[in-house]
Amino acid sequence: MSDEMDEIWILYADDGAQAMDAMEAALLAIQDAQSADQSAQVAALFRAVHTFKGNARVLGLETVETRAHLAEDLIGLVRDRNVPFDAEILSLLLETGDRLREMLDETARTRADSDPSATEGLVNRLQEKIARCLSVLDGASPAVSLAVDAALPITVPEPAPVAHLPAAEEPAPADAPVTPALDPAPKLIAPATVSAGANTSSKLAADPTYRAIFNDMVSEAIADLRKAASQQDTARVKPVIKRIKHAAGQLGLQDWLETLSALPEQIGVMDIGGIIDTLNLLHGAQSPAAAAAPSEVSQHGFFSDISAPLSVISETGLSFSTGGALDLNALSAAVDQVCAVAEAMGYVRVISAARTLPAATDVTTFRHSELRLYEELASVEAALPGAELSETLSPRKLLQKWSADHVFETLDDLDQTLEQLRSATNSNALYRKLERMIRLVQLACAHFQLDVASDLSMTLLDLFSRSHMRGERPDAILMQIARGFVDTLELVFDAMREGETPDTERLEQLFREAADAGFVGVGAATAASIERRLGLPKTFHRVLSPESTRAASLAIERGSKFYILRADINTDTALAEGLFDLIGSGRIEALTNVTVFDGDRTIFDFLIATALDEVRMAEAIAILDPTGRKLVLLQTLNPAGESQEKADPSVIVDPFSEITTAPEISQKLIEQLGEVAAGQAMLQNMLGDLSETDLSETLEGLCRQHAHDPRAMRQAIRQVGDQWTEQLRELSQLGTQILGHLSELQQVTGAMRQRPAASLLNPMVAFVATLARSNGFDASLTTVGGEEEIDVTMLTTLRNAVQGYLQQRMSQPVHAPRRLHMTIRRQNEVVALTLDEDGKSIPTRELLAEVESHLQPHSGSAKLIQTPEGRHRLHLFLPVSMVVVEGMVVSAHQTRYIIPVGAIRTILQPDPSALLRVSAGGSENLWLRLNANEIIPVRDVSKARSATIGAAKTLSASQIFVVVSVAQSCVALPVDELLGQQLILSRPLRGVMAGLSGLSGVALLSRGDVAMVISPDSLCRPQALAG
Amino acid sequence: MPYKVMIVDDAAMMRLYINSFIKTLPDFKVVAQAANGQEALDKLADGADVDLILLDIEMPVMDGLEFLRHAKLKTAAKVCMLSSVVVAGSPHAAKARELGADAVVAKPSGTVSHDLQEKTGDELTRTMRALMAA
Repeated sequence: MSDEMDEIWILYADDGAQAMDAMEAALLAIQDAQSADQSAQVAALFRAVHTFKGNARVLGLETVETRAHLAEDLIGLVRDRNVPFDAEILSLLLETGDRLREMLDETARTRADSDPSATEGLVNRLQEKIARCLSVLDGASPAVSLAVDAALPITVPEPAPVAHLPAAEEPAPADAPVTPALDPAPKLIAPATVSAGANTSSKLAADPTYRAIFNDMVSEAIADLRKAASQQDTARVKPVIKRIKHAAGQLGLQDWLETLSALPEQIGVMDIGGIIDTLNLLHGAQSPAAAAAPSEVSQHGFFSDISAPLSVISETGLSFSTGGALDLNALSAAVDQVCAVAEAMGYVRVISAARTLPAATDVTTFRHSELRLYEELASVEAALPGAELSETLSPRKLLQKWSADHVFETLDDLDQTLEQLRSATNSNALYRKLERMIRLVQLACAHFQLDVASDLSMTLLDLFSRSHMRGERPDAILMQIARGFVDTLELVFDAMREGETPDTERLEQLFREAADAGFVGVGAATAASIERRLGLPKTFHRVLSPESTRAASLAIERGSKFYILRADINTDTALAEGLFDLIGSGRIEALTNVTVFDGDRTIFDFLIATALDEVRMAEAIAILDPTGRKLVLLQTLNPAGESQEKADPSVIVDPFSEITTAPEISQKLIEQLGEVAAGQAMLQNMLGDLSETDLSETLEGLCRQHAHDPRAMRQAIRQVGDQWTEQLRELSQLGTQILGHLSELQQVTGAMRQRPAASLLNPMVAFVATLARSNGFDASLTTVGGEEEIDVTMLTTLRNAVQGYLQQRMSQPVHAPRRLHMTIRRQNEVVALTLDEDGKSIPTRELLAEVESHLQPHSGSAKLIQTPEGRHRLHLFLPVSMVVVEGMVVSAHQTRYIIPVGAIRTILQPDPSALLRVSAGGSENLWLRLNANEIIPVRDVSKARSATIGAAKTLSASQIFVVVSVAQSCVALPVDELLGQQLILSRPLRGVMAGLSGLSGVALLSRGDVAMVISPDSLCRPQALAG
Repeated sequence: MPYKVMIVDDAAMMRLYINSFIKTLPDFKVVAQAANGQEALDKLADGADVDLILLDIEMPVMDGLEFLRHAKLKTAAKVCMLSSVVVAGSPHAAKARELGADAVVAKPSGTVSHDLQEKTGDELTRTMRALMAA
């Protein structure tokens, strides 16, 4: 990276020096040849400054760039608008050249921008000169104007161009007018020389740039006339007509001149419509698309037909960005071609967007126009049936990709816009900008399939837009949600950029808040709350407005009755009016209604609140509809109390009602902690009492007291001893209780750490798709095992291990896997993750080592195999730690054991004859006959290393056996006693204990005993059985 | 000259209400009505010249969102969604925005809002005028 930057700065210095040499040479040539044709020198001068400016912009040297840009604009006026190259301009440009050269040397040396204050005087003089030139030009050509501000350089950075997509900073809104700033020629290779006379006019009319500007002027004029009509303001009409007439004269448009000249001197309100129609008529004949013969869309489809002209447009955009040579004729032809194809389809907005392209005079306006065109094309794509879409061109995907690539800049802009909106007085422009930003963010979210974020962005756009339409500032709640949206998305995209799984929970929370913002704003209960209280049918889900919600709340408070009334009134106006009269009478209140379609028939279900009971309500509607066919009382609703909202999931399904179990667990946790704390306090108190008692002193006192009565002394001492014993027993019991609580606490906390494996698998699906997309291809991951409950640390370890593997495998578009399958299984002591993939290259040893490095600290392992079909299968194993197990507590040889309940096949007390002694390998082993066809080995849980129990072992006649099975293998475990079933938290065995086979962990029982956790897997393993 | 409005709503009563409401606005005039999206598209194809479309969402044959997809290609008229399912923050409102609706106004009392003028009249008027001024 550093080498590349060094190279860029060296290039900047070299190219800049050459450009300055060229600028100086051109200026000197102009100075020396006052009377000769200067156009070649002016063109060379322009190119030199233009190149210099572009290089400065690439390196972010804003001060250098702005100075060069002003010089470029001034030269542009000379080159393209016939401003005389006078001594003042020459002097100014010579001075600018000197300054630019100084800045070049300085910036190449310091690699930092120049101090702007040093050249402020020069900037002012350049701007003044430009303004004076423009004022003279405006006097000669009022049809077009160039604001002084337009001469100021554009400071937005240029994004890197994307194939086929404009290198645009931000798209213009669909209806955003492109200001027809008349400064096109600086980008022309062979600019038209403007001179007076009819010949010049006809040349101007033929120029697509001027033609496009004129079209825009006409559109503006029509809009102005419409306003004049609506406001009955005839005084505004004449200036509009005069403006268009003048422009038409400049362009030599005789038909326009004749028509406009024929308009009456006195124009009334009633005439305006006719004038608009006339302008529309002429406008249609003048427009480029109308000029081009409407063509049919070929059999290849719309997008195929426009792909070639779109390439030309894209190349033009690239030339604009890089300062390369432009071919405006080719651009104009391409735009005409797009318009002709769109015209055949009736895509007026595509035509409108395309027409703005030739009018673009600099990179920014061209970017806006081009992106606007792509937005319109994306709308076409959204509306076209799949079969008509081009396989190679998807404007929607390109827009999404571009937005995703620039999402951080967009979020930054959005944040700033929100800040400005907070204090703005005139917010129209800010709202428009806000809309653009949010739409770009939405496209980026769509690219990464962040559905919640995508929906949330549109919800925010909706809420802001409503504020705008109401002429209000957005309220604090909305601003807070929007701020949270920006902050959270930055984190989400940052995580995705780092290849991590983003946490989208906060987005979902914001989405809920945004969905309720309208209700909170008016202080109403939420619609969902009313839906639940009334038990509304699904069809009413999310249709209650804040006003309806408030009305429903009030009606509930009044104790109103609620009904669903079905009304088939769409084709019966008299009945409809009768019903609305009833509603208008106040006897019943229609809180809201929804449409129910029956084929093409439209029927309405009304939610009615009324004081009428069911019988009176039925009477009221029977009066309106005696047939009983068109008005039907469908349902009577019984509102629930506020604290008992109806939770019937079949009635209303709230997509966000799946509240995590965390609060419930937390409550349990607090209760357990409270028990432990209280028990511990009592224990401390009792111990304190005991410790304060001087037993020796007490006994001595008793001895002294009963010195002459040994019998009484013994009794007294025994009494004290009994009291002590009782107190100690109580202490012991209390200690056991506390241990029990601690054990439960362990189980609860252990359970809290369990997560469904889906929390790893589901994001992995998105992760794979995102990795593939970002590398330019498609891939899919299927999964199995999402329902397994696994400790969160293990999931994190597995995620880290597999993520690195996937990132590396997906980084090579050619060899990367396209189809992947991931499975998670939890056996008793091991969690196994298997990733099967069809990548064309073999995963390297280094990659496997990298995967293992994540697992080894947790005693895990990895294995990579190649399947006979040539696929690659990665196995990851992690030993289970801290697992919560439902276990059967048993006693054997005075030791407690826990046998996982899930592995117990049966528990029996067999007849001694069912025990068989089998000789094998020089020793006798004991087997148990379960039934006529099944004999299973007996294993001694206390002798984990012996394969089977010795034949010499004496078993009692009433011996209990617990039969444990894993897959098809079974063993019988003799135990002395069954102590009960309980949930335990198994911890891993450490140190020397870790080497014991047949055991998987150790656990604390609720009574405070320690128990060994049996491992059915290792007991039933074939080699164990064979041993 | 008043702006030309098309009402697209499957509820005949609602079309009546909206029409009578617009009659009270001197700067707007209803020039076309349709009972579903397809009918509205047909009218546009037949040359209906409108500046503003007031569009319901839930309609038979072709709903408002589907119509919006097509209308945004084939007419330069502004589209204002006027529906009971576009209350602030609703999924339909978000979808309508995504598809390019120029404005969204919720009907106050459901799909047939007899109290449209009373409850939402000001908001609707302001929105219609803002759209035309944009």
